[in-house]
Amino acid sequence: MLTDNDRILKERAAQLAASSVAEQQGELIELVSFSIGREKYALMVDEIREIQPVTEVTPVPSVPGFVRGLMNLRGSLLTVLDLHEFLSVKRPGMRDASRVIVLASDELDVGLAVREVFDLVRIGAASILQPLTIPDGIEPRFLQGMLTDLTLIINAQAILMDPRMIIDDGHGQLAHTRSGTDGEVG
Amino acid sequence: MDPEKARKLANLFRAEVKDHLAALSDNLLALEKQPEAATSKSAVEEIFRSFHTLKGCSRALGAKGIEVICHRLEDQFSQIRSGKRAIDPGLVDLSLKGLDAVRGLQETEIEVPETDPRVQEFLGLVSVALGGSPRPPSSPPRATTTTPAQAPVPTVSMSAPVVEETLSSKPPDPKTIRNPPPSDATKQVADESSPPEKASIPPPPCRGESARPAVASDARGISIPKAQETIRVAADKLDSLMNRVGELVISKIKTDQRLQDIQAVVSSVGRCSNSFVTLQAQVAHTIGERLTSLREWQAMTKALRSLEQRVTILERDFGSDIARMSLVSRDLEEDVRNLRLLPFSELVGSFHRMVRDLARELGKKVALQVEGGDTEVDKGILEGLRAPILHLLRNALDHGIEPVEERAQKGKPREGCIILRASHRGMRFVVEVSDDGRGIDIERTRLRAGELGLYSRERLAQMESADLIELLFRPGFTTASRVTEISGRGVGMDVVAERMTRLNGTVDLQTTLGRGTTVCLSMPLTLITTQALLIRSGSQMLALPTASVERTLELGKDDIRTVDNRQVLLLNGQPVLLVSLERVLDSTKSRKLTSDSIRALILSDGARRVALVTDEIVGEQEVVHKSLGKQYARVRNVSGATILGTGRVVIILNPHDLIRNALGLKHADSDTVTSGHETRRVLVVEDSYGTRTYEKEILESAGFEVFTAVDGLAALDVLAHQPVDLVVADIEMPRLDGISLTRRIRENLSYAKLPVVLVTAMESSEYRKAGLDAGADVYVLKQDFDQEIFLHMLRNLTARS
Repeated sequence: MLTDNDRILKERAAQLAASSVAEQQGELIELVSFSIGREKYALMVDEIREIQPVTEVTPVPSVPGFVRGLMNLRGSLLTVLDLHEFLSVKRPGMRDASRVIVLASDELDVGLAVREVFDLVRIGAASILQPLTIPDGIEPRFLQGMLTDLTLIINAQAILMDPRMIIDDGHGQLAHTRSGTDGEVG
Repeated sequence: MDPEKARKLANLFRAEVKDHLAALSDNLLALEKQPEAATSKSAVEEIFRSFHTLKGCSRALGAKGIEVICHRLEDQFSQIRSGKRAIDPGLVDLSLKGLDAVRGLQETEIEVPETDPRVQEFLGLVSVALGGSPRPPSSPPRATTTTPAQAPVPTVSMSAPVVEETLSSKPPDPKTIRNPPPSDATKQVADESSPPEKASIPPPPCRGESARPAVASDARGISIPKAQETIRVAADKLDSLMNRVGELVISKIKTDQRLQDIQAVVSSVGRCSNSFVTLQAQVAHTIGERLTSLREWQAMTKALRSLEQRVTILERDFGSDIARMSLVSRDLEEDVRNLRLLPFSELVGSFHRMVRDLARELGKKVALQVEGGDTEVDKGILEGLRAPILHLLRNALDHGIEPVEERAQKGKPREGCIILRASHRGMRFVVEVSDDGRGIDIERTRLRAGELGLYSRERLAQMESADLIELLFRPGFTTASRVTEISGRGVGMDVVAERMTRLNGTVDLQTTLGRGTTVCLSMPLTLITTQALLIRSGSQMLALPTASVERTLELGKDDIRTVDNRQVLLLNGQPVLLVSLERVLDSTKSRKLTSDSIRALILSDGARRVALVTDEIVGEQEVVHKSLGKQYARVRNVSGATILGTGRVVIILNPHDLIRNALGLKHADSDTVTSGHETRRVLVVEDSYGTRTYEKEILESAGFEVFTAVDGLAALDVLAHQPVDLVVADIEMPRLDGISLTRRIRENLSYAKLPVVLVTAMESSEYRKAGLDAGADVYVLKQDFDQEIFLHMLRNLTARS
């Protein structure tokens, strides 16, 4: 039979146990998970400006393959990227897209073409694991972590700051000529 | 008269009619509002004169229907003028209907006879309104009113500037209205010297002596004669001028480069000169006695110094010339830009009418006030603003202003007020649409957002008014309780926002419940627009600045020669390189040109030319040049992009790059001209929009011609009318799934042998077996999809058949 003391102690123990779980969890992180081809990824909510359905994407000639093209987003031009191409992910699976996740950025209007967007995920910071480093996998600097179901959390900032994002063709095909005089190539 | 001249005259006529209609509308509405005002007398005078003038010129051009309508109305106003009858609202209404009729009659061809049902309908209205049968108009001799070809008109070429007179108070002089003399007197009319009051250039009959009706209006919308000389210039001439100025700017940039080159030469010469002097000192020691050599050397040094001086002076003079030229070209640019400026009031005319009609329909009393009608803004911007302002006015009328009783109950004046205010604020043009109506109910917005599921209840509860107002600009949002034909259905504010973004502008909304709403549109004063030629190359629509396109042509196989393993076109004896645009943009693509008929355009950058083969010339239009985005420092061949009126994004190409790259292409694998159809046709059957467009894209860039269907039944429909070489189908689709579709294809004698590829996410072996049993050739899983392998397989499948 439990004395009052025992009961109180037991309650207190339970409380302490509960709070340490909460401490372990740490702050709550909100993520949006999505799929590209067969793979699942996630992005932190504050790295996302908005999510839109894909309408017509107009390809741009003479740009790197990871730029799928431009989309009309309420009258302005949004650059739509193919994340797998950008990260050199060579997994099979269709790259069809139904949604664009527009990244939060003051400077650039950029979005990722994704197959499907799943729900908002709320997890404790402590539950985020280190991503597995695989040879020929995604470079670690583009990843923030991994969820327990192996969903990779993408680092949007790293993508936005990557030098490849600035598309600069120099002076065109004949880079050795000065601008103003165009040498003919026979 | 040749058709070209006739067409030009008809266009001149339409422009005239448009002006008169605008002025008539303004004057009639003003008259309706305040028939007793002091200004009403001059308004009546102007109305009479407008109808009179219009009657005259429509008669001259054989626009009988318009003539008859104007004549009837002219009669009525003549009577008012002479005091025989009073102005009554019924007459104003009738006149406005007359204007509508005339507007409709000049849209296609102008020589609509009076027997036309629209004319008769109006005449019917007239007799009802006035009682008694319509009086037949006094008809001039038959021969002269049949067709414009016979009606003698002074030959006016578009280039002759027509000087307009200011509005005077002279009574209409019947002599100066050209009653057409008999038809064979065309020459006479052309030679006839103009009536003494006018300028030396014989004006078209429309001018009469009543000059262009006044444009300026004050806040109450009443016309005030503006004493200013004006010249009418075709808009595309202005655009052409703007393009020339643009090119001048480019040339100026090149000369800046020249200056830098010269500066380099100057320093070079300077260094040379210095070395020479140093060397001379050394040489003087060694040569010593060989005086002649030393003297030669000294002469050389002196010459070099002198050269240095001259080049320095050249640099200085050239520099100052360029600086001067820069100033001039900058001023020129600004002047030309100003040419395109129009007063805001140009837009407003039709709004008065719309507000009046709509208010009547809704049974509300509303007055539209315009402030800042004189404010000038670029023509392109003005045109872009028409739709958003129209939307906002409709919203204000429909949802904003309350019905008369409700206003009375609230203690507001019975007549609602909408103010349209245009102004310059710094470097921006600002338009405000204010109403003194209900205002927007923020709480209802909050509720509605909840109903639409835009945000959770908790999130919404936290939102402040500013955030909630922002929601109004989302597509599909409306707080109107019933959907109205006029502006309900949630179509409205999001369109306004989108249009404003296209103009690089912003929209802002302020509202006070019970008091009213003000929407503020703000945009930069000038718009960067170009005349562009839209073309289709492969599956892509692209744009080129019209200024760079010399001409477009259709070629046959015989027009093309092969020189040095490249294909050229002979243009006036000069060879011009012929290349497909697709290949210039992506040199890995080699294009088989079918010989039936090749469409090409000659692209020129002033110095060199290239003939580019395209699939289709879609058309010409003015586009707003948008830069691709901050992350694009430089993209080969691309100068920017634009968003068409349809919302579609189109890439604008850079002609200089295209020409340079076309000339630089390697000879081998050049485009070859062959005959017959080589393109394989694929039918993509898939219900998901994203997947369907994705498959279409990769197939088209691989050179297939793609047809699409959203499900199996639609696919059968396509197959019945369009021969294809291959079908790519999903399995899970409504109405008829992929497996059943395969079965049906195999059962049909006409295309039983058609290769069918099932592309699906259904992994189970049962489905696979069912698909293959039904007759599919291949079963591809979306999860294992590999683009290269897929395309390779399709090529094999279609090569076989």
